[in-house]
Amino acid sequence: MKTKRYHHYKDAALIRHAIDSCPDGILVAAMDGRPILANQAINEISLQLTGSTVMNAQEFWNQVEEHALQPFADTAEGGVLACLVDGRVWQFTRRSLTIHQTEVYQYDAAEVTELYRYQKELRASNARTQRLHERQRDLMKEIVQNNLEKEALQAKMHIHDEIGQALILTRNALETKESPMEMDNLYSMWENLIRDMENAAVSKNVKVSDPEEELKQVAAMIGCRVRFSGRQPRERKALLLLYAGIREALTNAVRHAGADELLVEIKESGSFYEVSIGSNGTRPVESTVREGRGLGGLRKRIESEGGEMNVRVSGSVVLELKIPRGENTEG
Amino acid sequence: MVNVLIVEDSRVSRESFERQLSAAENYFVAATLENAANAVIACMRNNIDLVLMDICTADDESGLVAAAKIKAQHPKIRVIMMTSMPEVSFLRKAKESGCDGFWYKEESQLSLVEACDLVMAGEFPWPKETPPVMIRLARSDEFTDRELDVIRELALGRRYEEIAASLYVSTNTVKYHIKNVLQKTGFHSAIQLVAEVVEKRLVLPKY
Repeated sequence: MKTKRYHHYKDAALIRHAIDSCPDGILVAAMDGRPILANQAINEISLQLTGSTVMNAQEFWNQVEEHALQPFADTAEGGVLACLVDGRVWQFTRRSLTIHQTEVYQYDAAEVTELYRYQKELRASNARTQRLHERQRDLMKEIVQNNLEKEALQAKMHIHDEIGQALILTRNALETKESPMEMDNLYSMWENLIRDMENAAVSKNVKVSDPEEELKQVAAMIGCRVRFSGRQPRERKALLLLYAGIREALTNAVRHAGADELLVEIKESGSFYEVSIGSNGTRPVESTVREGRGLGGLRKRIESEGGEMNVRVSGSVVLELKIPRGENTEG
Repeated sequence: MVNVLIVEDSRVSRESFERQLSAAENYFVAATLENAANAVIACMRNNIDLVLMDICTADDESGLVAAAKIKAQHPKIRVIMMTSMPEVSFLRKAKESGCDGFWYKEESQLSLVEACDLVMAGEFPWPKETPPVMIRLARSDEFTDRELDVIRELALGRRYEEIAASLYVSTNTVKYHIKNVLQKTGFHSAIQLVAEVVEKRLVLPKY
């Protein structure tokens, strides 16, 4: 009897020793937090977190959650990361088990200090790459803009060269008394130059076109008048989306409904411009409008910028757009 | 009389073209526009016979896209694409759009009126190649088509993984092409390369 008890004690001691030598933390506790089994590693963690070995598993878990760090992106299983006073990082998990029809909690702790450090470095490196990437995109925009400015400068330099040439020819003409025909050529050369100079003077910077003026010009060319009601977007991107919509509506209204007037109504509503484009077209239209390449392309463009598009048929076709206001990029 | 529509966003160039055509007896400039998208509308009526279409127009509208629409809707209208950019894909895209002529504003041996005359007579000699530019140590025609595809993707600000997905190749293949281009040009980084190709307008991905 004594030998049997001795062996039983010896087995328990061996199991205890095995659990204590495990580098991971192991804790089994009743649902009310009473610890049933806690190994050395988990007790050392508890000492750092709570100042004592595990007395109550629930309180221990509360402390773990209080010290929680930002989780790894790939730890979707729901583990909690915590950094201890000694600087080591542990990953904690909790799961419920049923042993002999009694429900208990098993807590596991695995040391992930190295992994966490690499993950942190990777995150910082990704953020740095992202910043570099954004800078590269900005740089590209600047290069394109500089190119356009350079082109305007080249045009001015060209005029400068032409003036030099015209001055030399004029001097020669005055000195040698050219024939009237050659004088006429010289005169028209100066006229052209003056016209070019007038243009160059206004194109000091890369000119931002006026979409309204040109749209009204082409609308008039196809026999249609465009009227605006409400204030047009000040943001360049929103303005260009609006005009893409007007162009599409204009083409369809003239081609399919025989319209000669287009009305564009613009309202500001929160972070959007609400636009309604209708016409005085009188030709009958079907109750639904099939979206071909034009309207389909416009929808794609509007939606890719976070806007919305709707085609309403009420007697005539009305194109409704919701255009995000976005940041002001005027000019 | 040939009715001409001029689409050109540079006011100096636009008025210069208008003057050259007005001086020629058989051309009448019906309208001048800055934005290529408006040209599609202008061609709906007005009996336009010839469109002189710049490729990079106001508000970033592509003349190539507009030309394709005009040719699809009005096959009889002749279209001459005009550019001063050595962008390598422009010639091919213009051909695919069904354009009738391609006039390099600065490099062409033909004057604008001569180019218009040849196009109207259906005798325009299509340029065989884009005028080459130097990209540091390499001539632009030394790049393979695939290398140019990769450069174009880089200019869009895409990462190697994104380029690989877009061109249906592996990331290693993308790196291989970039390494070759860097070797040819003598640049040390992709950003130096992209800055130079955009500066020289070898690649303008928006159009």
